[in-house]
Amino acid sequence: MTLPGLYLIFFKFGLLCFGGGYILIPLLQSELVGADKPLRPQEFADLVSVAQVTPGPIGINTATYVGFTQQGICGAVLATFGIVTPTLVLVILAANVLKRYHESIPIQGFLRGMRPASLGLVLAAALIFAEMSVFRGVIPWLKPELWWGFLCGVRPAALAIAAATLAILWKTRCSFIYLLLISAVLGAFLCR
Amino acid sequence: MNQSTDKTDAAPPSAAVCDLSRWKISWILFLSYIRITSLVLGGGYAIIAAAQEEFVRRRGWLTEEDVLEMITVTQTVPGILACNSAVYVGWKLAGLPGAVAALLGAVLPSLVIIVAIAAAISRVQDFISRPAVRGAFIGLIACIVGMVLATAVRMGKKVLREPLAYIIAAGSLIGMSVFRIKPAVLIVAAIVLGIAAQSFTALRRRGGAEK
Repeated sequence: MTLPGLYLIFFKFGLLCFGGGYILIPLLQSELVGADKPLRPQEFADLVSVAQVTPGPIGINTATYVGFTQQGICGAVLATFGIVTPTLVLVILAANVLKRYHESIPIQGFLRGMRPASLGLVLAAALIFAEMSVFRGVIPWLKPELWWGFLCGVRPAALAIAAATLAILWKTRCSFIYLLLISAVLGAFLCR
Repeated sequence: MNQSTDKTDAAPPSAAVCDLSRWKISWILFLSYIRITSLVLGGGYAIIAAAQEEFVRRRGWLTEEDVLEMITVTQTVPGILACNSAVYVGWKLAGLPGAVAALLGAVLPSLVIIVAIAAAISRVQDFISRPAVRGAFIGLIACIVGMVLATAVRMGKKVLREPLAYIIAAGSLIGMSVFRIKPAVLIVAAIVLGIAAQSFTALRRRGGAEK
């Protein structure tokens, strides 16, 4: 893949990635992975697993990594800039529209519907993180017969870390950075 | 790490920003985002929760109301969540220089870390499969569960003020986690419902005024 090609294809992914990074990985897979495409399936699987355990936005990690495999450091930089260019323009546009027409019925209605939906999606994200830490695997919502066994698999140490973090952030002004570092150290000993 | 957290609740949030020039704010935004994205695992929502801690609670630059709007815009506009929120925060605090600075800060650690480890991927995979390292990841993610829940609690206080809000919030939570509906579908449905409800309220108000 050429350098301008990398920029353009990631620009397109930036535009299509609606509703967060969840959709980015299937999108990349359908466009970039395959026999006559730039990445092999194994290569892509490795790349996704590393992008998820590296700090930073998962979408940016993935874009950087794909860019790097194609064109080295220049590729990594261009793929990243490609995926964030639409963001820069669209978010500023949205922020201005929101400010200017704040009192209009469509914008008030948008906020009235979208604020609670955001809350729901944030809670759903907390559940996804819980499935990766407190619980062992995906919650079997639709199979009540598995619920008891699933609850028995809860990691007590991880549950305690999550509850303590919530309580500390709620009641004090402690910096989250210390909480993250302490949690990692505790986890290394207690969450094996 | 500077611990000048003496900007207490007493001062109005924007006052902390007023004293600083745009360029100074942009520089702090850049550094803050570097610190957040180089430490926080787990992507968008974790980074948004960390940004809320940094800019609302520690620095007092944004209000809870600003963050609510930030999260709403972030989820509606296409793009990587963490970058959307960085651009929004930067734009709100310092205009275009702020938006660019926050965005660069949000992507720079990824660029450096990924380029550094991409060359040695098999060694990295060995490292992350060690029990202690896996345990540390579990601890970190458990901490992020608490951070994201703290964000949700604060959002809930502002958002859940009418029955419709409870219905939409519960609907999007259940739709996404139980039935695995795509977020884009839920977002469009929520916006349509909100606009319908708002038009209905406006019509009724107008009807009431005429009588």
